[in-house]
Amino acid sequence: MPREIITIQAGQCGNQIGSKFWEQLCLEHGISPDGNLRTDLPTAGTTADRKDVFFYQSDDTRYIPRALLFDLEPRVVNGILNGPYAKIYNPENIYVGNDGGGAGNIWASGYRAGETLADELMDMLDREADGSDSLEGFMLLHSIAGGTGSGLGSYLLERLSDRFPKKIVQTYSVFPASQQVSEVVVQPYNSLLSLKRLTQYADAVTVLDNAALSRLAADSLRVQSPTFDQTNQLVATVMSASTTTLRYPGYMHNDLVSLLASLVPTPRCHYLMTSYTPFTADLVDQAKSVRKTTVLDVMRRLLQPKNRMVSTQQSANSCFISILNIIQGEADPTDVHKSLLRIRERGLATFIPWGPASIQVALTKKSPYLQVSNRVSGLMLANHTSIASLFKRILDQYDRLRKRNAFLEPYKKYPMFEDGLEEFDDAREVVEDLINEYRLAETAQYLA
Amino acid sequence: MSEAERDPGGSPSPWIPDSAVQSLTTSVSAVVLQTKADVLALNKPPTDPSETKLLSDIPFTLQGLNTSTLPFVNSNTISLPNTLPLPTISILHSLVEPALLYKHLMIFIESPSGLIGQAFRRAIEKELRGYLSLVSKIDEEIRKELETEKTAQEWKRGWSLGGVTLRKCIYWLREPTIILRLMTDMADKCKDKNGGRLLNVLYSYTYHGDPFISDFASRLLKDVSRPFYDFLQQWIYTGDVRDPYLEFFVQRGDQKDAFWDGKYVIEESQVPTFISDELVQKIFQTGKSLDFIRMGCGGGDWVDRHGTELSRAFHYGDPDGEIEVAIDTAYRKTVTHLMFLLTTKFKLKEHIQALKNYLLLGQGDFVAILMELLAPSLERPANTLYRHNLTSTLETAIRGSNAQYSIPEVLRNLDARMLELSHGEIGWDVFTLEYKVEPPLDVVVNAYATRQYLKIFNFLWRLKRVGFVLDVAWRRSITGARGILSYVKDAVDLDWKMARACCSEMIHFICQLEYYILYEVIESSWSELQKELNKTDLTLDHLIEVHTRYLGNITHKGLLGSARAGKEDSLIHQLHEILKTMLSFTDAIDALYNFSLEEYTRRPTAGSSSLGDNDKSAAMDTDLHSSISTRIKSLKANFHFLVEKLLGDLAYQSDTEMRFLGVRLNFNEYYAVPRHRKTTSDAVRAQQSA
Repeated sequence: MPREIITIQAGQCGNQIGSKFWEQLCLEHGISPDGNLRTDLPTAGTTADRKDVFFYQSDDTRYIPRALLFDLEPRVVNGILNGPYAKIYNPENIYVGNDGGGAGNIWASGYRAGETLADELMDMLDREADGSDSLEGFMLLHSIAGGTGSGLGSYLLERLSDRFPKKIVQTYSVFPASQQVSEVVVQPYNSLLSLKRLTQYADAVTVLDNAALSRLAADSLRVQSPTFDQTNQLVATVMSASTTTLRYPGYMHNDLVSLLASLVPTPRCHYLMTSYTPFTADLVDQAKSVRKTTVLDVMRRLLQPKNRMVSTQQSANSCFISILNIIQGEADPTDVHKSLLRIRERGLATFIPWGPASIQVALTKKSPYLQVSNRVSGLMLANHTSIASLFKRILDQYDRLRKRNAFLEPYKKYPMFEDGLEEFDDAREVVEDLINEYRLAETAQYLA
Repeated sequence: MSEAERDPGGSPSPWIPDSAVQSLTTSVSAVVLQTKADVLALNKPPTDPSETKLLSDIPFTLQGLNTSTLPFVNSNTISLPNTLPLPTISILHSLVEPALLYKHLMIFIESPSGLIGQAFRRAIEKELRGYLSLVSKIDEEIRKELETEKTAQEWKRGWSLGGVTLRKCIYWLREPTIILRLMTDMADKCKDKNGGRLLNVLYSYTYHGDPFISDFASRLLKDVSRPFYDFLQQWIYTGDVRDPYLEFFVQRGDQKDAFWDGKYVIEESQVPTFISDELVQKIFQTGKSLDFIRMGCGGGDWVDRHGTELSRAFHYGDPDGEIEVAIDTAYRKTVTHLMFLLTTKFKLKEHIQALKNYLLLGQGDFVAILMELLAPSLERPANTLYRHNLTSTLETAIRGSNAQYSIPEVLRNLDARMLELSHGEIGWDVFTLEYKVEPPLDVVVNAYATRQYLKIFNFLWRLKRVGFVLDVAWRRSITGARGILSYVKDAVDLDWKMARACCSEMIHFICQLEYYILYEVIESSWSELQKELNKTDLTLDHLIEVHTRYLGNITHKGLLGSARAGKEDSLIHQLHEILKTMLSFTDAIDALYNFSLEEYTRRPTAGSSSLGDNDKSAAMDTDLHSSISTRIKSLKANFHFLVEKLLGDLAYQSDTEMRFLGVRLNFNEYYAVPRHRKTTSDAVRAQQSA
């Protein structure tokens, strides 16, 4: 009876992140690329981990990811299927669009594809859900800027909520890099429409922002412009770290609900940012050599904005709604104790005024299958009000485009926009409400 | 008693000093009347009885026999003839002293006693034989003297020739009298003593400033301590001791059926002072462990081998350190073997780990599944629970979690059962997990430890349960927001907002409390325990002690063990109140959810709230709605009140970790902690209870 989690990878970005994630999980659980348990490791046969949360065993005892791979164009998925881990996936769980064009970076196209393919995709989802004893929920990996991940992803979110009303829906959503001009001009449209679904139909959204990822990758890898492969590796690391407590059972946070319950107090404010430290050569190729890591170092670095995987603009009022630090390795509770006191004394973290909040800590063991050189590593999952600045940026960009009614034609070709653009207005309202809610959450009047 | 007759190792007998022997042999030939005293003596009028008569009777008296001149009135009294002049009487006084002492000692050595007492008596007896042989030598001299006298000239008859005189006898008997006095002194002091107490009396003489006395006492001890060293040898090589008179310092305790605790005790009064405290502990542990290996762990063969391989005899005064080294060897071998048996054959560490995994909820995935599976049936009255259902659920939880990889010895011990039922309780109140530890490990996880584990489990389980229902409530409210709750927002959104905020407050509280107990309390106590367990010279007693301390730490820091537990304002009582409030709150959230659901289904066009607005106000059960609102509000207020009170008390704990729990629970200073509520006496009490 593991609390199974089904991973849905939608679009290019989702599948790229996903494939890195599964590679990482295989390493951490001693699973070889063909799905068999590795027997060449000294720790082979360790029983401290739970593989069945993310994998199930086939009849020939190979481990198969509980993963669904959806894309409307074949390039990325084919890449995966020609890669070293090709055999690990269940071929029945892969849907690739036939026509080479994909969703053409149009949200509406991806959404429409979802509607058309609904029976086929939901069938795959149902089959995978039926294969679990006590399904805990879903993890959607996608980007919100393009066509498939955002459009198809949005559609899937609506359907999941409807089809599995009591299951947790968590997403890892890659937001567009805001500072630079995107090659996708309609990116603000796609983002806004996706944001509405993420707000209404997801229970927790881990926000990753390409700009921050590149900055972090460049910083830790010391390269000018990191490749997607490298930034995706960072994402995979964060994903695996945030699921450690589910995969290595301990006292607390053994299921997704208990993990999220302490992070998300109200349904709308469910956008989480992450920090991870240190990125070492063990995790990312060519990373900097390891620094000395102590619990205090790790916990302090996690709070520094430059280590966050999303770039937000902090105002004087921004504050943490909640923080969960997952510390892996040889962490002594007394060190945690001291670190918390230090952080409190120095006022390194500001919290909401309308409820109790603190740095929640989960201590977990390192994977017995991996040899890493750093003593302690840490992941911070945080609910911070400054995330709203990201939404505000998207909203502003949208408003600028919309004022000129630019690039709307491709959307009007699809049923949702045939009779008007109310959907845009509705999405705008949802996002604006969200921004206001976060702003309100910075004040003591939030509950009034 | 052939050994007792052996000549005491090398030291010369004090009974016949060289000078005395010499004077005995030369005295006869040295009859030369020269001094004034001699002349006076010769001219003294004869006494009645005459000195010759006295001389001939003295050897009998010295052997404690009656004579007509010096009859014994009783064993302590001798009557001297009243016809004698004063100087002679005082000479006789000195002369009869050894006789009386001898008689006294003869009676003493016949008195019954234990083995060490017997050895003491035989040692005295041996000394007395030396005394007798001296007496017989004196007797011989006197006879010779009397013979000479018979053949002497008439005028000299009735007069001592001065070769053997009463005064000479006093000279000969001087040292022996000291020894007799000494022995009488010892005998009187040891009269009612046996075993180690007796040895201690004798040992105290070895510190005497007079080397004559201390040497004599050492010599005596060598013989007297023999039974003690026999006990010692048996004890540290077989773990058993034949000690019919309870003389050894290790005695059976009053726990007749016990295998370990209380089976043997140290009888402090019987500990010989010449054995150091450290050695006493080692001796005690060695024999006890041997006995336990034999009786408790089925290791009789090993014990027998151990005995034959190492066994050696000990003697008082063995060269420095030899005894210590031998005892240390036996101790180390035994203690190491016992720990080896416990950790390998009986898997001690696995069981202690299992107790932590299952009773202290370390195996989180197992606990989560068990709770989820049991929750529905535990909500019902306790008398609807069936043991077989519990055990089959337990089985499912094991199979469904990593608990399935536990070793069979561990899983066999794990059981789920109900505590004794009392009327009107629900399943949650009576359910408990149980971990039965089998012999011989039950000496470590003894009845006390089992009670502590159970107590901790019940508290942690309660905490988990509250956490579990709060998570269920959270899941419902969050996933509900995606669906039905979004359609009735206009009616219940404010209630939900408050309910969710309160729910997350409670979740925050539970998370912090759980973290504190699991990591700061259990884990840190655990790592301390591990440190101790990995020490190489760990004895079973020490193991029991550290395990007990481990549990004590957890109950104390886990807020369970404060001295005031059970009283109104004890921390644990406050915590239970808080948990109770949380449970009531989750009921209220359920009510709110059901109300929202009803409202959702009541609306004609579910899915579009704006259309239903008109009929809604008419039919909505506003009474129910406001009663739910009020309930949530009052529960929230109550929760705040309780938490703030608890925080106030935590701030005054002397234990830093407990104070820090308060800091954690109020990290962003959301709660107003009462500052001066407590009086000094409370703070003092807190200090004391810590």
